[in-house]
Amino acid sequence: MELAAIVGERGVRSDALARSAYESDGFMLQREAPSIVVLPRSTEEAAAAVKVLRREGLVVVPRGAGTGLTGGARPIAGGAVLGTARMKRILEINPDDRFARVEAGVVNVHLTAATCSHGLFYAPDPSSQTACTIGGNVGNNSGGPHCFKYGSTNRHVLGLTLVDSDGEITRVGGIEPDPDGIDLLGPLVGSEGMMGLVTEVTVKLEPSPERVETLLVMFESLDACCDAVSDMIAARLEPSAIEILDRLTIEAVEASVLRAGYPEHAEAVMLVEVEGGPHEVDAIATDIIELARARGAFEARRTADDEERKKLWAGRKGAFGAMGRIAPDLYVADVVVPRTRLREIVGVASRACAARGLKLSNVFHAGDGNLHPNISYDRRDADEVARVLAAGKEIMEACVAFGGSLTGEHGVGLEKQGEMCLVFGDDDLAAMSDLRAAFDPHGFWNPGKLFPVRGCREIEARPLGSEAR
Amino acid sequence: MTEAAPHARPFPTDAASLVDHARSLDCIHCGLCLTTCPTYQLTGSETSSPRGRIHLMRAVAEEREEPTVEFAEEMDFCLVCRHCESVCPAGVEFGAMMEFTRGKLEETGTRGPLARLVRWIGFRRILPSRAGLKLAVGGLALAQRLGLTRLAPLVAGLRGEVTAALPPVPPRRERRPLPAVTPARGASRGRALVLEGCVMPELFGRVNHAEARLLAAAGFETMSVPKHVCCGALHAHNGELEQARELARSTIERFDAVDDSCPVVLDSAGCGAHMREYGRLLANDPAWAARAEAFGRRVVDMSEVLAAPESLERLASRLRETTSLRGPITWDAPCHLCHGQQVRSQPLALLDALPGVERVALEGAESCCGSAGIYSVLRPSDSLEVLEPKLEALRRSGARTLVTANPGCHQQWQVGVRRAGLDVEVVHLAEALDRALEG
Amino acid sequence: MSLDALTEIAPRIGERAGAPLLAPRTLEDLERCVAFARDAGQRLSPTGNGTRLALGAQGAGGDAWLHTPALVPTGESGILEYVSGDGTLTARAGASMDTLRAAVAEGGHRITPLLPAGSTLGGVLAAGRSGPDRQAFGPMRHHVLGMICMDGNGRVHRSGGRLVKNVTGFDLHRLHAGAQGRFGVVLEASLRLVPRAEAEVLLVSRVLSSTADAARAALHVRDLSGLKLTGLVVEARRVHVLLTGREAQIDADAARVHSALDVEEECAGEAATDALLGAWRGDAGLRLLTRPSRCAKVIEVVAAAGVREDALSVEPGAAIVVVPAGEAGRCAAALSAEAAPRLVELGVTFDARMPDAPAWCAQPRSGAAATWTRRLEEAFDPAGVFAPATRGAR
Repeated sequence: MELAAIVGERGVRSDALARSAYESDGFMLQREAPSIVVLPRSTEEAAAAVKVLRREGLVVVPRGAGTGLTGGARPIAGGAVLGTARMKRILEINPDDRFARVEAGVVNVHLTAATCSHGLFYAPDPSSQTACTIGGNVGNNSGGPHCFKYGSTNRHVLGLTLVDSDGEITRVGGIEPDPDGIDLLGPLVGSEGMMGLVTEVTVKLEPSPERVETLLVMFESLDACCDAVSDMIAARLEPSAIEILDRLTIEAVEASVLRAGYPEHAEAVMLVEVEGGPHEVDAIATDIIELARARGAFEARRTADDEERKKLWAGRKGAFGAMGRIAPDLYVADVVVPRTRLREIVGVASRACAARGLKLSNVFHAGDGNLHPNISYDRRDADEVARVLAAGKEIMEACVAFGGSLTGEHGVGLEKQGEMCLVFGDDDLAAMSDLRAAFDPHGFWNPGKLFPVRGCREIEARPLGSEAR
Repeated sequence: MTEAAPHARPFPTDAASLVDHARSLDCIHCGLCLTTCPTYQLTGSETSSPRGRIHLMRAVAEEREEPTVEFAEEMDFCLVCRHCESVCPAGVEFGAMMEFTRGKLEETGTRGPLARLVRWIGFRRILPSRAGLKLAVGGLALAQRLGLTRLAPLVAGLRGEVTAALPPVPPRRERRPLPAVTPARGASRGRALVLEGCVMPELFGRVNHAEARLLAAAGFETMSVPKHVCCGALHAHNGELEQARELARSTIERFDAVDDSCPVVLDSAGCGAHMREYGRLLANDPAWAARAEAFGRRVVDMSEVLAAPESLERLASRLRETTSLRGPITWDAPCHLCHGQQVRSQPLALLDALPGVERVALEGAESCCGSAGIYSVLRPSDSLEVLEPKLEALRRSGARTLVTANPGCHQQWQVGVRRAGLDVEVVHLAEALDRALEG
Repeated sequence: MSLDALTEIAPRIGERAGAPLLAPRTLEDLERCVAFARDAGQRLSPTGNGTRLALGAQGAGGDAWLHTPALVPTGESGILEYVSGDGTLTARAGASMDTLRAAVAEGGHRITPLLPAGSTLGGVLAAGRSGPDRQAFGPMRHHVLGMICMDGNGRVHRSGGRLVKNVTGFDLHRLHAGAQGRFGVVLEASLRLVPRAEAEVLLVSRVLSSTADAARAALHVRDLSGLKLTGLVVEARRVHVLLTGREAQIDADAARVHSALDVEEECAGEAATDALLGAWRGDAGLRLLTRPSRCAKVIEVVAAAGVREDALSVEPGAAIVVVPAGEAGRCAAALSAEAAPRLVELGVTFDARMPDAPAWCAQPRSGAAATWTRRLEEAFDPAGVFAPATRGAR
């Protein structure tokens, strides 16, 4: 068959099992089998496959490792999945000019591993970094704990190669750290696979800090822990990551192979990383602990030992998976609030879940105000699913009311399509749709995602710009 | 739901269930397992990843998919290296699920008739029988002497090429069984029961002897178990669960007859990982469950015993610099040691006790070499493809001796090194230590 | 002709570069201006205080300027929200950057990029250029959290938000930042603020033998393991290193810079950033973009073509070599002959926004990227209200 001639026998699957295995990404609530799965080995193969798929009238959903949490890589019925899992070559690491060029299917952590011998690293570190791909990170503008200091993926992408709906291969951006002119690259990062398939990415590398310390600060209440973070932000302290884990999360992690030595008697722990010169690290760490104690922290540990630090972080990053111990499925919210209001939104989430008899755990990028209220459920229980979705919606609505946003790093995908109307009006969405159409006028790439299925007739809230209108 | 110890969690007893459905529900689809999986590395396909296989198993259990030949193929493609278990935050017992599903596939006859015949001969007639093993190994030795194995590639393709690259069957003196008792050197610290295994005595008898000498040097009175042949690990990994249970019961009986409380020490990682889990294997057998559980707790890897502080102290005092071990050396962790038994630091501690030997790290030392029990025989092409990046890593490491601790891995590396034309000796951890052991 | 009709909507308050400066006071006025221009086939250029005119607004030389500071109600600062506890600022485009800086300074924050005084927020965003603190903070557009714009259809649209982390919807603000008003007028924007440092120090080397040498010396400082630089600039053959951070750390870091560089002048406290801004001439001119490791080579080619070395402003870490506006016209001629092809060979891309930029500097997009850009223009400004005037035609 034509596609097999392009991508090889192992690169095309359309049997029932493969179609079933690709029916979802990490978002399990909406599943749909594709007609065909295509796994090219290079940009050229991807482009050739796109031409065939387009000619045959199929739409395409790009996919990296399928670790996304909002259904961004969920297939469209009758369409194709175009996966980058076999495009995993690291093409160039340039330590002098501090960039790396990789194929889209390179796993995030493999890139960092390949650069560390040069005293450099790739900053965005999503919790799924041991599995997720750089291409997927670009699609979702992924974050991670260390984005508190370094910013999300869009601050680290210098250039990319895009296969568009005509199967044309185009390089966007380059290696210049600060190019001039109209920025086509910026809008492509975070476009959720709706403008083309990213097949190659050039990223900026950061110099490894001189010293890194991880702080584990323990609290008797989650509220106090949240307040401590708000205080830290208000005091303009600059660690590189500020995370919070609550008791249920701690218990799940400690029961797993990733047990990190978190104290099981704490109601919440704050996991902080501080990096820089030794004096700077010491000064910041001292300030943080002092602030935390003022908010009631009963213990604080500092460690610069690499092994111990690695364990502390591995536990944090495995927290989502560890929830498999609580129930078969997990709904991961991804809301953001101003960092002055952490405690309030945590309260909203716990009330929303308690009222519906749902089990809630919290683990989040507190420093960025990016919360992940995690609700455990079993997808076979339709009533429970409905309650989970209702709680999720309530949390998002509260967030927007607090001047927050729907998603900090996971994207909109399928999950938050409806809620887009909480934040954006019809004109905003029309402008976004125009942006998309400039790259993909055919609606070939990942159709039916991100935008609300119906327009937003009334704007329910507008945290930005209410004055201007 | 997984609060109880894993061994206490039995397989489903429902005759109709093809899949251990309860275990499949532990998976939350996070995908952290993907990159550890050797077959996913090969294909990039979700169906050949741990997450994908669990999805398929669950889909079959929930009757959303049919257990077709293609389904059996995806299950058989898995190496059951259990690397995924080492990173799974939800603690999914993937190896156990896979064993169960393979067993059910066997029972329902999803595989073709020829494949079933070959498996029947291997699992029922050769592995559990010393005579059968001797016959098979004798046949290989004869073929090697007559030069027939060189013709193998012509008639058997890649499988033949692998056969041709097999190391020569050791001379008869290396194949003699262990003495009933090897007395401790110095004051005795107690007894240790040693499993000689099925293929080990035939192909790696020297390793068993080295192990006994090392245990003795560490102060253990080392006992062998007469007439014992096979622990059933290969059967279980390949879904021959009934046969595996029979072998487990007879293993427990024979070992307990010699000593029913001392540690059971293994030099074969695959067997160790399996025997530790006898409790689960026999959990549905009321007459045996408790005894099997207790037996499983006595199973330890040789390196765990030898790296314990008092052993290491005694052993280290007897280790001398030797010319018979070429440095630098490197350690490749057998999957069923690091992932199956969570034994990681002990072998390294032992190797680092070797005087005057430089040890270098092997990239990806915890990923599968492709041996996977009889996988290398059943699927030689996939097996060699899995080994390929490891050979590259070995080349980059600059090591001249590669140390492992499992007969299958040992043989796979020997074949791979030979095919790649590398000047690297492959030795078992016990051999490496034994060569440095004084008198 | 129809200019009079426009001035009826928005009063004319002056003239800039030969075109009238119109002051729409409300969003409705602005919308009417745009609608009128759309119907009448006129070209409008949004503008702030005109300080960055040297960067060449896209519509420079159009029929009229739209003065965005006029949209800030009289007597107001233009600040819509400054959440000091969250480190974010939202303000109207016409707000004065100096006002904004002063306001956030009180809460212990700073706005990046560091730029000379006098600009408006909208002007800075539309120009899309960063300042000499680029080494630490990167491009200006990385700090824009969200925007509200009015496009050529008169459509007011918003993207992003006010939070430091947000991936809701597409990042249209990344398109508008640096687009010089091509797709519309920026009305409001939210910025991520950076904390004011406890200590700041500027270290300036002696005059080195050549600009290329200075660039090499600067990269040597960049590569000192673990050293964190805020600014790294070469002006007049002298390396300027700006360090900001905790007091004790800055002392230690400064000592390390001293050991790697023959430092002649040192300046601490708030004067440090002022001194760097005073020395920096990289804001406007002919920009050559390369990669850090090729900076010295590019400088040598430019110097060999007869360009006065001392005139060059270089940011080696960001791989930018600037021939400042005053020199650019003169050196463009010198470069075009033989040096330009050599620079192209070196992979240099050019950006010359000064009005008299030589033709060879233009590197138009081709292929799919050109198609995408054309579609964007058609969607956001179908009548070409904000289209650039053809150079030389007017």
